Amino acid sequence: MTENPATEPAPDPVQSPADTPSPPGHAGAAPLLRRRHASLLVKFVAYIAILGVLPLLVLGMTSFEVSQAVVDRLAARYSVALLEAERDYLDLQLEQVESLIGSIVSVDDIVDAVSQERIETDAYTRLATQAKVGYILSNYLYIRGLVSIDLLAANGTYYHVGSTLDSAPPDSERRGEILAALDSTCERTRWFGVVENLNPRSPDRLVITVGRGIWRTDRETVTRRAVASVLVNFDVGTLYRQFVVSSLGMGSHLMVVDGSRRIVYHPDAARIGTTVPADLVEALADPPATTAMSLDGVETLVTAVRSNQTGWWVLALVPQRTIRAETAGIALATSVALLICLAFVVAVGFALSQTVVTPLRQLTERFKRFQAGDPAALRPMPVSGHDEIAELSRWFNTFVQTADERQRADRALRDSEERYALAIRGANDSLWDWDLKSNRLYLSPRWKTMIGFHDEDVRETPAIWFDRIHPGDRSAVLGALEDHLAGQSPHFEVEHRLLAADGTYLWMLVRGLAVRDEHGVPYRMAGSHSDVTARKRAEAKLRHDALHDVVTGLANRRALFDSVEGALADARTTGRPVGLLMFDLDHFKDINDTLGHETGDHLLAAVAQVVRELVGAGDQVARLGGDEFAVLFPTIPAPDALAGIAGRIVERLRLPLAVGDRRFSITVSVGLSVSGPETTADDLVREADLALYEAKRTGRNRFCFFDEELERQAHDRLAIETILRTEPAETALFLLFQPQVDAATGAIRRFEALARWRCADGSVLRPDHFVPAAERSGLIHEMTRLIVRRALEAVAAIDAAGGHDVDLSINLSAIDLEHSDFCDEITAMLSEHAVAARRIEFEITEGVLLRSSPAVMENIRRLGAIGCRFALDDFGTGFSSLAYLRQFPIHTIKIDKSFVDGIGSDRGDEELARVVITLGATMSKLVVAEGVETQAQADFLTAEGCDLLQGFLFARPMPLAEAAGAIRTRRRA
Amino acid sequence: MKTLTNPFFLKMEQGARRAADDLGAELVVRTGAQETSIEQQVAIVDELVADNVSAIVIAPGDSVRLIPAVKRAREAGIPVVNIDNRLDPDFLARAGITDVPFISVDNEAGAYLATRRLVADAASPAAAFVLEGIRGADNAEARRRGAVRGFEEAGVPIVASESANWKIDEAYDVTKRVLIAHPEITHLFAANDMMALGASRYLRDAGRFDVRVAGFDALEEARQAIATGELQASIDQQADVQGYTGVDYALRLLRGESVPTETIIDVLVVDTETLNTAPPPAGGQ
Repeated sequence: MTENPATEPAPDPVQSPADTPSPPGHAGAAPLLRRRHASLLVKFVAYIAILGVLPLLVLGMTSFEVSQAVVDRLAARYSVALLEAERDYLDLQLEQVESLIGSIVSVDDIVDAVSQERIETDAYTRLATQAKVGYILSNYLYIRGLVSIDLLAANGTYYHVGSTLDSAPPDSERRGEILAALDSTCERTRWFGVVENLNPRSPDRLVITVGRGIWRTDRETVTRRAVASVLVNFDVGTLYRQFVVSSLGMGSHLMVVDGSRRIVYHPDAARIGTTVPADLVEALADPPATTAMSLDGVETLVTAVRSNQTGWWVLALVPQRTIRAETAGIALATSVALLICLAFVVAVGFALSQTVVTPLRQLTERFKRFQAGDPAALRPMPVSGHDEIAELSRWFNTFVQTADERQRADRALRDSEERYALAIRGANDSLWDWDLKSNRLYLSPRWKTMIGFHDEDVRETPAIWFDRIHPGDRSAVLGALEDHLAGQSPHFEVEHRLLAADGTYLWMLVRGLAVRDEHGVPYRMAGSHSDVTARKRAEAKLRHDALHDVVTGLANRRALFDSVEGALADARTTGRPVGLLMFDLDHFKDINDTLGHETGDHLLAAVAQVVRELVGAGDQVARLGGDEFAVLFPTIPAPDALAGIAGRIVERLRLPLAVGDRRFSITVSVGLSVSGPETTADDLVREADLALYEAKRTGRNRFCFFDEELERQAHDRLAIETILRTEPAETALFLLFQPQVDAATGAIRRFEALARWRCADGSVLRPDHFVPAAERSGLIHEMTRLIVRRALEAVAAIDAAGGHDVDLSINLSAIDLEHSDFCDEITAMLSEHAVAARRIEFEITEGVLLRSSPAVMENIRRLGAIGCRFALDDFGTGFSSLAYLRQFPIHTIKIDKSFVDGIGSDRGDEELARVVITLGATMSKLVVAEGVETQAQADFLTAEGCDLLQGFLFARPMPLAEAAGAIRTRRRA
Repeated sequence: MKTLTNPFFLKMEQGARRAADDLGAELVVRTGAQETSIEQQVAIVDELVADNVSAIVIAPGDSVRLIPAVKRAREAGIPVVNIDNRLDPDFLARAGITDVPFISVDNEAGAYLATRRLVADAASPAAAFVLEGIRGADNAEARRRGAVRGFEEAGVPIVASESANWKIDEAYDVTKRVLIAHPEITHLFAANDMMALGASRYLRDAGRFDVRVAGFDALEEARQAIATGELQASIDQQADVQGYTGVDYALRLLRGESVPTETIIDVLVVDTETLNTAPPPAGGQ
């Protein structure tokens, strides 16, 4: 493709000699191409223009000129025809006038009247003659357009008939003129044309006058002489109206000019009577049929015909431009055709440029670029159609494609090699290549690195690999290898352990593929080794973690269940029962909350260690979650043995436990269950769980066996939860109010609001039944809100009954105070019901304080801050701590009913009651005794200084109405 | 108008033209050839209607025969003003035409006054001859009645009453015929000056200087004749005033104004006395 101008001097005729020295494939090629492109297009356009546009131009101009001349001629011919018609019509009219005048001059009476030598002066003659002439002339007046008839006698008499009776004889000069004019015409009619009306009093100023002499033969001289003249005056207006409606078309107009070059008719009435323009006069002097001239600045075609009768001219004036307008269409059509032709030339030029010149240029450009190594040149040329250009492009594409494929293949090979090398370098895999014929095994350096060899240590024999295979895996590897070589598996892939140089085993994934000859006999095999040790370890760890607790390393709940099921299955064959022990750490949550989870986890690990040491090797210790543990005894000789172990665990864990540099004193609660013949794993776990619950319920730090009673209680709890969930609290829950009376006066000081739940069957549940269930099921929060709202509503009723000084105490659950929003909710409800905070006392148990989580403490503190008070319920039954009384804003201490019950019968209880009362007095707490049922109890407590008494002795819990009634009664008392 | 051969109508035209100039109107004057050209007048009215003129002021030659033409004009929406000779009110009403304003003089009174002036110094025996206008014309009839009344009151018997159709030449002929038949006639009343001048001419030609003649219209020629004693008296009916008023009324009707249905212009007796004392007014002031 490289064009060499030196060897092939200008083979392309289009290429100018100036281009030839320019070296191909360089920057100089671009202007060369442009010039070529331009010259080809210019030539084409020039040919088209000469062949197509020029003839059209000549044709158009010629036809325009010819048709204009034809139109001019036709217009003139048309005008002449029209004008002759108009002239004939005019002549006809004027002929009437001539015949009129002819008849007038032949009326004897008139001739007699004007030919008298003597002028009669008497009135009679004059009037009679006037009348006689008038009778005659009047008969001629009714020719349309006739203005008047004047009769001028040589003897000086003057008769006039016409549009007005009012007339005066013309002066002698005018009369002489007229007579002289008529004399010269002998006895013919003379057309004066447009003249001033002889009668100045007539409304018609300008008239067309025709005259004729009245001749008489003189008897004496026997000669003819003119004795008078008759003038008939014709209305110019009538003529005007007649002509003005006749149209010549083409914007032209008529003009009538009399023999004296005065205008008889013109569309512009004001010009009637004026003399025609000088140039028009010249044209009329020697009239061709049609002449063109400029009139009033307008190029006008003037056509004139002359009336032989009157010597007048009838002219048609046609503005040239109206004639030209007729031929303008040809000029326009020619111009449009020319424009279309030009547009066509441009379009064809453009198309040529697009379809021929541009592809040629692009092809040339591509070749240049291709030669220069520009990859853009490799793009295929767009090909459309089947013409020579398309063929050329197609061949170019084929050429380029072939060249491109070759380049691509070269590059692909190079890339492949590079990629392979890179892969070998980059992958952690090692490669091996085993020549089966020579039994040489190539191992890549990476393999040696993996094993921990140095390059020089390796001999290229298969044994270096096979000998290091773990004995347990060797048969599998060799078996798979044989299978593949025998063609029984598509590829060779197996995981095995490989002995490393340091004596440890690595997990290797080996893959390989045999290359076979035409007979299917393998002669070479290659593959890779991947070190999958890390994955194998991770998998093992995952398997372990799935069944073990990360904190303690003990089996987890799932593993325990599996074990329980396995043990139970064994038990069914052996007939020996399986034992399950479950325990949790009492109040472990407090440790977690106060010391943090990390410490908690360490404690759990320590507990696990202790328990593991206490149980036998066959027994499985598991952590079920949180602080809950379990021990599975796959075979126990008897339940007593289980009790022994449980007792040991409780005892051992009661001892201080060292965790790091801390020592913990903890206790555990333990539940025990033993399998029966039908026991499932679920049963065994649930029963142990129930026993654990019972152990906790009955005071913790102990163990309990599962029995049927526990099962029943669990069932009851479930039933109550169901009730709570199925019945709306809004209707089921109601409050009773039990008064607390002043020990000294017996007056009601406050009410304790006691919640009751009315079941659908009418039975009523007490809080100790439904509150734990509500706490477990999470319903307690809404329930407490409802109780508080009802209690606050009750305050209004109490107030209405006059109990403004009566306070109200409400029992709270520990869980209520766990809610961080609790204080805000209470505050909102107080303000909603407009109840002063100081009138509300919340009764909480020591358990609440024991939990003393930050949320609980914050709620108590904030409620105390807004004025609410707190009473410590059941004081003395639990871990009553004097510290609590100091630590929390406790206002009231309630002596538990169990102590009150013992008053009068149990000295210990009495002492305890006394101590509590004294304690309250000492710490300025209000002391309330509840469960007062006898007067003796009341007396004792009163004597000891108890502030308030509550119990059946005074009142049972009562509905609000009764409570309000009691307040009213109090007031009356 | 009736004719262009009677100077009376020239005066009327002059008045009408002055009105047209004063009041801003285009005036077309049309006349019949002769006083008797009634059909010509009818044709003129029809032609004017065809030309669609705005209004017509008509001095009808006949009081009845022109009514259909007037009716056609009115039906074409063209107002018509009647001057000089009156269109017969009965026939007008019968044709369903009302409210045609009429401007004229009291022809009967004028004729009576002229006649009384004619016979003022009459001696017995006296005989009267009345030259009538066109019979059937209202003014001609009125003048005849006035003349008859005047002659009867003066005790002058009327021996002849003929029509010369307002024409001068016809009057000459009629007078000649009547005078030959009734040479005893001493007084002659012509219903217009043209007829009076025609009769007077015959009397002069026949040497009958004893016959006294009165006319009507006070033409310039009649005035000269009165001055020479040829005629005894004439009646100036102020033709120019009639013409002027006619045009004025026509324009007022076009403007939608109302005009009097009957306007009587004063008549003036013209005799030697009045000619000497006061020259007649020139126009219709």
